[in-house]
Amino acid sequence: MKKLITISLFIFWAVVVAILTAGLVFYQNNKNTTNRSYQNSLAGNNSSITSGGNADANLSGNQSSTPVMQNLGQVSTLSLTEIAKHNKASDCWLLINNKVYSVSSYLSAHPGGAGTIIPNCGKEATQLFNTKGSKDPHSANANSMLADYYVGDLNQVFNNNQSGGSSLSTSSIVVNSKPTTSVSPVNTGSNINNSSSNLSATTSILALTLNMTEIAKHNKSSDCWLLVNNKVYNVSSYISAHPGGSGTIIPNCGKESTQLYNTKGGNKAHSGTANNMLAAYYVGNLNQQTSQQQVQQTVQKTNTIVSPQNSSGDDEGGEDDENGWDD
Amino acid sequence: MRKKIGILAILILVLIPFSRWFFIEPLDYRFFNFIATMTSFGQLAGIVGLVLFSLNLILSLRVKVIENLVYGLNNVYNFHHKVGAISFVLLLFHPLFLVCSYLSVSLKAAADFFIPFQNIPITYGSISLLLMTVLIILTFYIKLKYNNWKFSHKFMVLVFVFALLHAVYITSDISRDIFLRVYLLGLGLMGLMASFYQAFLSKLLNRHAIYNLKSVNILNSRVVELELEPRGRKIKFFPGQFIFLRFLSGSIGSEAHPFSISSGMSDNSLQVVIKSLGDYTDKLKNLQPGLPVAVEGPYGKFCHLNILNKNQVWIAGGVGVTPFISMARSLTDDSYHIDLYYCVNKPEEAILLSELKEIELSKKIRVIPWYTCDKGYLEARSISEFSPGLENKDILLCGPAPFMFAIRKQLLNLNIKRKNIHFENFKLL
Repeated sequence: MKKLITISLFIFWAVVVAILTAGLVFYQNNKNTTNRSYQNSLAGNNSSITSGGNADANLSGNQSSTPVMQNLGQVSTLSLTEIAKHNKASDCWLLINNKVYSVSSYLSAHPGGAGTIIPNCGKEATQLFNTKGSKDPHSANANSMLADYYVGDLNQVFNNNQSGGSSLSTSSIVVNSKPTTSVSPVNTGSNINNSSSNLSATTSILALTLNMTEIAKHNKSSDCWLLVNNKVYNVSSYISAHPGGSGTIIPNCGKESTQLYNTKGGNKAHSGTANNMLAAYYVGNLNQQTSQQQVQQTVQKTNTIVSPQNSSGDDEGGEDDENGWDD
Repeated sequence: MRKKIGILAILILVLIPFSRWFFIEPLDYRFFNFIATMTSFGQLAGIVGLVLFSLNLILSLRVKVIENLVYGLNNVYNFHHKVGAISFVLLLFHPLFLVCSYLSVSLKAAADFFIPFQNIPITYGSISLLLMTVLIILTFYIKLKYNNWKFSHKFMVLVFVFALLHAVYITSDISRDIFLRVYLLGLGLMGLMASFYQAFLSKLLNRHAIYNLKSVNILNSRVVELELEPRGRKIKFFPGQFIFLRFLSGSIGSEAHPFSISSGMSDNSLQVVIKSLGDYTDKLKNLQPGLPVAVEGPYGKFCHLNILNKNQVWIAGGVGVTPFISMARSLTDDSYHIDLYYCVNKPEEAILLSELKEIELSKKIRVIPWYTCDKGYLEARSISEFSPGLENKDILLCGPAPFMFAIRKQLLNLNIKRKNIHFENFKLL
């Protein structure tokens, strides 16, 4: 017993001291490199932004300067569609206050549980983040942590000089700005000069209709769509957080669930909070014409509705992020 | 063995929340990558550590129910010792596993995780773990005087309160799952009640009898025998059991200390033997007769009467002879055939040997003094030479732990069955 305790104590203090030293003493040195490598890893994970210095340059630079680099290659936009693609636990983006965060690596650390985030991967999660699903806001600490996961702003356009691989398909999409799920590429910034590559990108978008057949495909707990009041919701990441238990949702994945939702399977209605939360998982309307990529982005967005922690935003990704962050 | 019931009970109590955890969220959400897995380990370590911590507070209760569960109060303390150590190790690894996910964000985030006062629930946890570390170091590495150690160890309750606060306020599976919440907090509350009882109510409510100190016999430079006579009610005990004494006045501390009984079952006065090891036991020598003493107990299951086989070998190391003296004094019928090996370094250390020799004359007990300075350490081989047919006898061991474990090992090598070897580790906390 004594040996076990000695070894454990040693490991514990070695790790704590190492982390504290590395984290605090070398923080200043690490500040830049951490951000860079983190952004790189984001790019790698999500395959939506080019990996390597290019994406980094985009992110850390003023976003309006991106057009300068657009002649290098294709353009990708952090549209809802794009975001929605990142809807898995292993690849989870959230849209919070019109900023995009990639929180996959944070999921497991989330004090509120990965289950509260995963259903929201690839989705707009501002309200959920601000209310924690009830009415408590996240702490300043949480806010600062969230900043660590910043990818870019909604509809921010990234230039991509990488071609080939999975990054091509995702990174070459330009979709529009506002959460209206329209497909046509609309640029927000001054980067219109790049329309040729935009066009080439949009041609790769496959048309898709959110009909019952499509909905029915998403019938797994890891990929779960619900049709409620003629609206399609991707609730995969929410399932585990569902206070009524995941078991009440999973059997209905890929199905029309309006009545079940309205009655909770009995005769009680969901709360306003629940309704608000559901809204965060919105993918589109029934029979809405959209594109595969847009849907993917939305799905990813909804899968990423996590509440990462963010802060003053000063440790992360460029000045722009400071502005939008505290709204 | 009876001990296993206790182990089983603890295992079940740990497994309930452990398995519940696996059903709260789909396992895909728990183990989808390395970091999620680490986090899950961290959560499990926290849950199990907290359960064990709660159980340990309950285990520190000196009550019959718990004694019977693990067959002997000394086993309760052994359990307490081990469960406490395991709980501590788990709770140490709890933040280490959890920090992995912060590390994957940035070193800064990981460092922030360890810096207190950034997040209140985490701070509760940090305070708890830090204080626990100090108390565990005092227990395992620094040999404090018993009184001081006992006092320091009471702060474990404070550690536990902070650990509970951490568990209550942190958003986790405990806050989301009503079953886990109720279970962990319920167990925690029981733990708190147990320590409250042990700290404040046990003196009043534990059954005790009041004795007067009759005499203090100094047996040799290190060993004293206290003789106590009952004021009213006498305690009923089996030879080989031990009691807790609490002096109600006098120059000696008023906390309870364990002592082995050396008197016979039917003797009017109660005698205990104690080897002076610390301040408290040194002070015993100077006590004035007439002091009132509260006697709590008896505890323990180490007794020749608990063994059906009446052919027995008793092996005593040093002051470990005390329970055997009590047993020898209590022998009434001639059906027992006993060889008592009495191991000490030198003849002058063999306390009460003359009395044992007297008993030897009238009862069927053979006393074999074994002086290590002459004959070297007692070995199982010598025992089997002096006591033929050892395999048909039951063997009782009492003495310092290394002594008992060495002899037990040798006996097992001689193909003596495990169930025929009985011992009680008297290292009480």
